[in-house]
Amino acid sequence: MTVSPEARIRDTLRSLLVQMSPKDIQSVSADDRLVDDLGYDSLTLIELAVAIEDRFDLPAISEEEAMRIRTVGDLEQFIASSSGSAVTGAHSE
Amino acid sequence: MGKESKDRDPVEELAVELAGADSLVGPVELFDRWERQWWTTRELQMEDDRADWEQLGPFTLRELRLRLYQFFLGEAAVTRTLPALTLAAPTNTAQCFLATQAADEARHTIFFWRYLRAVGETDGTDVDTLAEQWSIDASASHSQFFDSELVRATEAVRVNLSDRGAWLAGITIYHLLTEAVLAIAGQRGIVRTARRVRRLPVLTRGALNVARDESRHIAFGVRALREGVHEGHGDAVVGMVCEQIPLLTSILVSPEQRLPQLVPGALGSFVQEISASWDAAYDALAKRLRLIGLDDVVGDVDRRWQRGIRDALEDYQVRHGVAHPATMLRPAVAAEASLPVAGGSA
Repeated sequence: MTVSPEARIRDTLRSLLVQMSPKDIQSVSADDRLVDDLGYDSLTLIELAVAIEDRFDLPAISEEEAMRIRTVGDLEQFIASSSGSAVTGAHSE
Repeated sequence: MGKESKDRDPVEELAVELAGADSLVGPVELFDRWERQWWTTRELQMEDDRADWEQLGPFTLRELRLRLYQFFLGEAAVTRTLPALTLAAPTNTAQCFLATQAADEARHTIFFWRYLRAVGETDGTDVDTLAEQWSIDASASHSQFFDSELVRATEAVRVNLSDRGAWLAGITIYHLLTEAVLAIAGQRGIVRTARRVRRLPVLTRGALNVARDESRHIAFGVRALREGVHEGHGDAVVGMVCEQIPLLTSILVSPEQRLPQLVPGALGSFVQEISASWDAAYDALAKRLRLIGLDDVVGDVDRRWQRGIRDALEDYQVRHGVAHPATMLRPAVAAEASLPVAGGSA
């Protein structure tokens, strides 16, 4: 079965979010808020950002764009829409 | 290193360790301190930090790895270059103290090498091979400072051991700029990072031990430079300080290191911390210049320092296509350089 690029991004990202969350969680959904629901604080958010930037080939992002990212869905959407090439940068888990 | 220090905040402990740096005592008193403050790399159970190290997030890991390999390379460079300053020291007691410092620098090199091995960052590589491998990855400003400028200054001492001005310029780049500015900023960074992640007690202990040693070296340098300025060699000191400020500020800002962009809000406290560390490094320099008797040059040094920070922030923007987040905290610097202010409208 062929996995779509969007699904690969989603799976990779969600796996990272679960792994790096300060909370003991097993899964995440698109509506989960990074801070309020998943327990990310300033340090773990920075760690997450580096992990995402290492994993996906992301272009420069404006501060305004970055400030709009609040939920798992926002992040997935940003990575998927940032560039088609971002998809190829996603490593398979 | 008493038991009472166990529960003290390491950042406060670092301040206590550094308090002796400005005591203006002579080489014999500093020699006595060296005997009292003796420590060994072997007494530190470095393997105990390995589990902590393996759990570090990618950002903290990158930050600490950079600091530790900068320290390792820097300590190896100062171990190689100190002997010229010892040979040309003006008195026997100064030579005795500098001989203790040589032992300290060697201990620091071995400490960082052993630590990196203990936490799994190197696979049994010896000191020389590791220094060679990492030299390739060092930033241009770090390499230029340690491999060219420090070597050039100490070589000038070696070829003419009676040149007092050359010796004082060597003490300036070594004891003032390397130890009091760069090394102490690096120690603060390590201790604060370890505190932020609430891990790595052995690295914290080692960094505090290294800082204590450095406080003796700074004390020696400040007194020697004060005497030199009193004798009329102020130009040698000021010339070296002004010449090296662009490299010092570039090493501190590290424009080649790209900060994560996805979470600007979360970066706030971290960016405040690093921006404050640049100011603390300048304050350390200005304070020592006053102690040395060079109050009249502090204003000029301040302007050069701010220009150096501005240039390094500009370099960051050129390399990464975005403003360094710290420009938001330094609007005056950004405005002068026409840099866009991260998160602002300038």
